[in-house]
Amino acid sequence: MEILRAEHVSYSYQSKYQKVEAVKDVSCVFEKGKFYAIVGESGSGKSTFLSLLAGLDQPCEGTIYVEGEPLCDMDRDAYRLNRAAVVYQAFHLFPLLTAQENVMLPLECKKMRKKEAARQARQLLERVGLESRICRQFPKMMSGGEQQRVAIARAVAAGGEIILADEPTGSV
Amino acid sequence: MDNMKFGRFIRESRQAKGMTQKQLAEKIHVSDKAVSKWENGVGFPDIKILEPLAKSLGVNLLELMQSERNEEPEIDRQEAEQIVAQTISQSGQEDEWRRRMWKVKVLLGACVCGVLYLICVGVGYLAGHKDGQFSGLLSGAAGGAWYESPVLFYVWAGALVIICGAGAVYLLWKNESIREVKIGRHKVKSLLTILMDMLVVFLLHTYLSNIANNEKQLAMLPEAIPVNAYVSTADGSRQSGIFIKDSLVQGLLDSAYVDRLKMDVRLKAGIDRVIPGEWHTLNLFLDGVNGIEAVGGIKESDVVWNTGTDASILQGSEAKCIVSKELFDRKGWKLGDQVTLCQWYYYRKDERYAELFADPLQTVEYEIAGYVDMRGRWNDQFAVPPDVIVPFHAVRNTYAEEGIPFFASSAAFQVSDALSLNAFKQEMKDLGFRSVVQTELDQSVNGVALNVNDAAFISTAEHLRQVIDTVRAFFPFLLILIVGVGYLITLLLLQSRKKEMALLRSIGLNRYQCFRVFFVDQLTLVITGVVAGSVLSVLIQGNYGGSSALAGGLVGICYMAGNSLALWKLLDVSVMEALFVEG
Repeated sequence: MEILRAEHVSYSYQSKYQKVEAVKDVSCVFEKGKFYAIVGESGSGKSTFLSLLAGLDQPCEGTIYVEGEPLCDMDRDAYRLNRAAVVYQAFHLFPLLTAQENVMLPLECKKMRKKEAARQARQLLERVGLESRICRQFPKMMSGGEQQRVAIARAVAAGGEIILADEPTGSV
Repeated sequence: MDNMKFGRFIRESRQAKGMTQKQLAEKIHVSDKAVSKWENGVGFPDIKILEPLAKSLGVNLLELMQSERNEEPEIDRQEAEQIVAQTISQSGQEDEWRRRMWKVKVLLGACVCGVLYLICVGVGYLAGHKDGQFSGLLSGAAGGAWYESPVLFYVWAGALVIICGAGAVYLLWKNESIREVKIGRHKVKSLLTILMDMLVVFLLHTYLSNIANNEKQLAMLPEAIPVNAYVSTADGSRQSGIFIKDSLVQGLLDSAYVDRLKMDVRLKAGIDRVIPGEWHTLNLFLDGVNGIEAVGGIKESDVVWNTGTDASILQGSEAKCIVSKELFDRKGWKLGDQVTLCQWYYYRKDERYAELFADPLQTVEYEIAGYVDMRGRWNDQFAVPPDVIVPFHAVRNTYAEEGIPFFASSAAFQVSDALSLNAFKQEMKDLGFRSVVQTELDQSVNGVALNVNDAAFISTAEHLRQVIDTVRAFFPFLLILIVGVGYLITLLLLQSRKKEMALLRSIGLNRYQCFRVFFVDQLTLVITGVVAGSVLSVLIQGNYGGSSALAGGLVGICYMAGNSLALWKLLDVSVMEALFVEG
């Protein structure tokens, strides 16, 4: 069963002085319950395409469908909160939050009680192979691999059906 | 029961029936937004809607509650009870959340209304539109009362600050969304925000204190520079021994602007009996005064009083008198003796000229209440000192009893409300007083003109008013400046936190939720800065009628306005660009 579909999706970054075409006319289908890998040279727009699938922005052209519904007609904030989570290549952890607080964040956004969120966050961090001492560390104090594991735990914590991971094992 | 599972089940069932969110919403009479919320697991429908919702989706109620298709609908009683209890609890939680949000909205609404009111009244007051259209607009709501009593205004403002503070604390405490953007970990930025607020409050307090100080000086001016006035002839050449009509005397007695009024009326008198033609029998000079100060150069302590009497006898109309020591000794009187005085009054046959005549008025028996040695004390160089001093109103009453028109011989006073000089002058004009025209040759002794020594007062008051008006004129610009400072400082300090904002957005918080997270943080810092700044201002500069509270309140409101604008602008970024291009 189809969960995500991209049809002729294009995207470009535009500043005052220049325009960079990152994604050009991409069409593909992703089915429920399967793993997909997108391969390409660096700078070919993999991360941008992934972010479009995560609903971080709208494609300049083309449409992305989520279970047959156009993403542009949906509440993209709710979609990100409840259905799609992203593991970024650059981790993008909150620099002034501890590992545990980073993982708790999506849970608290869903109005989960703090205690329960902390318990689940600890469990998840354990599942990705991080010791409990890491829980109280800030990203600056962690190695690249540890940071990436925290980012993975955070994506899993969100509990969405779709996990979009940008080179998730690059540093592990 | 899981909101996410429930949402997914609704979506799947709806898609299986081939309905859009809008079509489903129309069927069960709710908004399509509500359906979208349920499907995304953000909300849960009211318990009353569950049945029509199940029907519309073509599932039974139990399946909806369990959020899964059930091929074997038979369940035992215990399981059914558990499902129903879970559903009710879920719906109840949603209701409670809605109720709480409703309370927050009402509180915020009340705060906003109150703050707007405070700004209107405060700006009106400080901009000095006391009589303008602006105050007309406010007069209905605020009444004149607050202006008459600034205390009332500050009590009001204080109550408002407390309400706003309570609202902010409530928001902080009940902010159930993330509290993870910890200001404590941004020590330098947080400290800078607090210090900036303190500085702005301090400066505004200085400004408001300056206005309050000048206003205080202006209010004290009538005491520092009293405005004296006296009645004279039309050309201003004479101020004593003149003829002031009874209607003018009554007008001065009744006026609220007249303070410390000194009046006298001069008569001739003889002891026991006056024989016409033998004018040595009419050899006393009698002065009717309404207070001891009206007798030039004499103080209450100069008089030797009979036991139980004092200067207050002159304010009444009892037949009591003070005699000169020389007469007292010559006649061998004792204090408390009764003396019979034949009083004669002065009159003119033609009011245009100063030629005086005298006729008998009334013979009155006076009790000697005291005696005074006039020598060396009498300071009226134009007239001889009186031999007998009697109460002004006692003499005035005898005129009335005899049906003879009364005239006072002099009148001088202090203007009680010197800041309302124009109203005072208008009242005096309405009474019948004229201004002095020195070039006008006046041969009469009619007391018709009023001399007001107000030149020094007016020039000082004008100067102070100009200073106050000039300083006040800056007020609106100052408020705009504070909004600008709030905007720029926030923009600069939070520039480095743009990535955090983008990250929060990427996790799924919408722009408003993100704004709220940072707004509550900033509000905490600003309230801290404002309170600290107000306390510091009071400690260093002293408090001028609550201006520190006003300064704190205004800075808080204006700074937060600028702060909010900056936050909203900072949140208006493409999440993609913030994470991938800038990051």
